[in-house]
Amino acid sequence: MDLENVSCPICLRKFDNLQALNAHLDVEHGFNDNEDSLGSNDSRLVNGKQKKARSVDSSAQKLKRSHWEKFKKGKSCCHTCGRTLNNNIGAINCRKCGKLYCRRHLPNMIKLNLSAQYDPRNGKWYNCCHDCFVTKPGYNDYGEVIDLTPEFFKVRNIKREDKNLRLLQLENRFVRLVDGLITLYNTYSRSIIHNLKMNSEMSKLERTVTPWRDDRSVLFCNICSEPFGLLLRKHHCRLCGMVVCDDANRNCSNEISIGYLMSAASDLPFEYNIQKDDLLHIPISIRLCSHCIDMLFIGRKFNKDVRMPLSGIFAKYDSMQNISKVIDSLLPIFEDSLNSLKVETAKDSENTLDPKNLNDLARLRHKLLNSFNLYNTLTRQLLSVEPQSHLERQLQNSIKIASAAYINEKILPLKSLPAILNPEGHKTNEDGQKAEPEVKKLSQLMIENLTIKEVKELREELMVLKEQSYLIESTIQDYKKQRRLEEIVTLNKNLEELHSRIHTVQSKLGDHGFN
Amino acid sequence: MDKHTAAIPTLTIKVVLLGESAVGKSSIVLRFVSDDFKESKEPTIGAAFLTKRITRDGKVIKFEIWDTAGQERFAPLAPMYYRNAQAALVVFDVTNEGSFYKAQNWVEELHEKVGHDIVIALVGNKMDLLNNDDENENRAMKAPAVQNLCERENLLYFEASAKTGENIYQIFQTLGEKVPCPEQNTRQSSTHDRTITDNQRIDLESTTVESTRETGGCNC
Repeated sequence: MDLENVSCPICLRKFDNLQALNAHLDVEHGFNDNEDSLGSNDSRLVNGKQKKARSVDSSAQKLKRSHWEKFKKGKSCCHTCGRTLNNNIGAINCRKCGKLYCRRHLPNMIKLNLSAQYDPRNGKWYNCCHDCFVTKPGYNDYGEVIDLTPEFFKVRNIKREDKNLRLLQLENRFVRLVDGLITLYNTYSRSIIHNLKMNSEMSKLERTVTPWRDDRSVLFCNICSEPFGLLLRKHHCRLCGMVVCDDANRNCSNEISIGYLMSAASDLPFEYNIQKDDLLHIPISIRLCSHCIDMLFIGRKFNKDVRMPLSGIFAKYDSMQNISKVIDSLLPIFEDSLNSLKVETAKDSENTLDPKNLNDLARLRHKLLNSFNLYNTLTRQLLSVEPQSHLERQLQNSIKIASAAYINEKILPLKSLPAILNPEGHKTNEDGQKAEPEVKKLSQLMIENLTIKEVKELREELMVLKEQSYLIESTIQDYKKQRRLEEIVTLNKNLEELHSRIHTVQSKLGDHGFN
Repeated sequence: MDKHTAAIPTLTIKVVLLGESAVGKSSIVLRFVSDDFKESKEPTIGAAFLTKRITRDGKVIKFEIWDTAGQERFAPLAPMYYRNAQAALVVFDVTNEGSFYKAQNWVEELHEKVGHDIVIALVGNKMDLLNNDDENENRAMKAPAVQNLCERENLLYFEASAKTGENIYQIFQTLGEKVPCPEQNTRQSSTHDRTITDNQRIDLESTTVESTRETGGCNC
């Protein structure tokens, strides 16, 4: 670059050298201000020495600096990264808050007035820290909102329309197939010869409803991708024509009675009425793949369930939950008291219990027994409610099992206290005063010589053993299918051992085992 | 077992795997039986039963393997499986010191309950997790402690990795050699009067497409 005859980039005036141009820029165009935005404490670090900034125009107003943090060599640190500031990394004050930063952490510019306040209209641009930059008014106010909802709706509607179209197509095929099959049944169901004719006619009808895929080219089930073979046979879905298997475990396809299908989709415009024409027990089944079943019936089932009112089971169950909360809060207190009582008794040489503690414990036990009684009553009431559906019956059974397990588990500590703690134990003496409860030895507080801990351990073992015997039984079933006879012998031996061990544990537990 | 091993004498060895939870017992068995490894395996419930045949010095060794669960709640099941076992693999994780002490407890329990007739192999699994440059860096158990236990309790010791397959086959091969071969355990399959040639054999487990083709398409 030619350093002679340089011109001012603003007013295009020519200068002999660079120094003259710099002086011109400082005086005429106010570039002296920029030193403000770079310097620190009115001075700059140059080669480790502080050099006073030139004051070009003393009359020019300057930015407020009284709030600036003073630079101390070797002590001042950057407020963001914590590095000690020196001439290599720079030491610059944020023009707004006055804190010291290194060059790297003072990247932002902000418009400030001479009082170092944010002034977007009349202010000049100055360096500031990240915190001051993001806390300025309106920093986050003017973001652009891009609404993609219409595009989303567009894409979604295309998919929904496709799905609805497919559903409509399936429904039409389904109605045609059902009506056709019932017509054929009514026409040909008189004799055996007619029956043979009916079967061939039905086969023709099924193929006219939807074109069947050529099964010779299909090697795998369309749904589960299992290869077809001697044991896994090919079948066509009567609504979509796809080739699927009939594996019972994977449920890829099912033969469903025509009456059941009609009652499940009673809103469709069939020619025949299921009640009027008595079609519920008609001996015709249609093979449908799981995809078609889902598409046709899941939505209908959901809508039906939504319309059904909630039953009384839920209110009863809610009350049961409240009672169980009461039991859960009282039981730990009872167990703690019982344990401390046992510890006292163990220390005592005569092995007797303190009557006062015994009374408190009896009261607590009585309260707990009442709660259990109420819980049990509510369970019975819940079970007496007539279920409205198969699901409700399942729910009732689950609640029955859960409540039985709950009572079994929680009532165990109550059995640790002998029967004398019942109200009958508190007899009155001749004066009509309440007599102290009869005191018994600790050994009598044990459940048939088993401690609570032992009962719990035996129960856990019993659960594990039952779980294992179930696993072994299912393994035996699998091995039978695979004809692995040698392994079955070994597993049967193991199963016998498990059963004998289960029997032993159950006999140890007695009444405290699982039914 | 292939078609031609039918007439070879077979030795059946019952093996039980013991050790703390998540040390890799099931992975060792899976690697041996199926030559497979799963990165994330569900914890075993109860005890799993697997079998594997290997041919060694002209005789077939059939391993009946009981892979027990390591979780504490399944501990009552273990005695049922190690009671009649001829060999036991006590597994620990080389990067987990606690699992070694648990293995030590298992060894003591085996000798206490079963006696010294049972062949016990101590297996330090997960060798792949050790840094090859500085093996001792990640290793939880130092060699002297392991050596001391093996000498004291008369154990076979292997360091293996179910993930890489390192030493897995050798463990079972060594067990096959060390377990004594009782007369009654070796059984000769009776030869039939009629010999069946290979092309006359029918493979009932085959589900190939060719067989389907011959039966004539779909079953609709």
